[in-house]
Amino acid sequence: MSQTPIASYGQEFLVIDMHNLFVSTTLADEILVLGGLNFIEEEIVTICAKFGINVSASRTLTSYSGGEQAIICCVMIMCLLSDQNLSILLVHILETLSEHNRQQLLAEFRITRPLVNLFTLGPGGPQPIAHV
Amino acid sequence: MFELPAAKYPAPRSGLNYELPVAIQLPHSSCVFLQGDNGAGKTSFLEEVLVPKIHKAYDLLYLAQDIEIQQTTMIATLALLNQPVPDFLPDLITAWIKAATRCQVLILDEIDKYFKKDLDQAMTLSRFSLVLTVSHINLQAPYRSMQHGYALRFQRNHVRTVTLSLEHLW
Repeated sequence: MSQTPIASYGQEFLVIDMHNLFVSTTLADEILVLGGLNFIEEEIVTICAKFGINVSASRTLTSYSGGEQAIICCVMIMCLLSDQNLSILLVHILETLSEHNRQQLLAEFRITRPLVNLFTLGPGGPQPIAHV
Repeated sequence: MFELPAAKYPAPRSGLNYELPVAIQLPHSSCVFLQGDNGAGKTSFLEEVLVPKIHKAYDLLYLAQDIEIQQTTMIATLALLNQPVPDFLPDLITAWIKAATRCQVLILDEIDKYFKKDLDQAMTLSRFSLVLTVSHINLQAPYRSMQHGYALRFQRNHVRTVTLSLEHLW
């Protein structure tokens, strides 16, 4: 079987892959595993509310829709990272979102983490996402 | 070919209630795009309402959103059928669909995002009597070999209520 995006590009990019969003069953556990601080949870809930997603840290992550899970994961990564010159590769993330949520997510990254460079996976490999 | 009466359809597993004010009547060779915002209840409606009804009358092939989980089944089944097992995911999906020669109904839940070329060219969709597709990419062209096209729109009005409306596209 062909290599996963994480195996192919994980050295150069922080890969957020639609097929490997979380390792835990709840947001609370996910934040714990990733070493996040308690206030991160409130920040994630606030940002996700902009997408119309009512996030509960104790709710099973798989009970959200696929698109909602993608948004929660991206927002969580956004909150866990400091603003730094980092390359993030979004694999099948943007295609899973409605047009409105797609633009909202890119805007949130731009506002919250302006130093981060976003990429999507095209036929020839990672391609930068132009600023909207 | 497929009819869904105007009614309220509860979906116990997701806790949603779907309201269909006007009956749906789909002729042979129809393609239906399920459209709505993330979390509107499209997949839940597929799984808890449409699939159980369709399955009573037709053989269907359902490619769910979490395609990674289905890969092992696809690989094993193609191998059992003594057919080539492609390594590349879009080719594997295509081979799987082509192997399902008995199925009259095809359901694709956000599958077109894996295809960089014409989906219809890859899958020969016109051989299906009914194709249901969930997609946020909003491409109609790959499905134009189907004679009729519709958009089934999902509007979540309250926390647990989703209103459905059908628009005829072609």
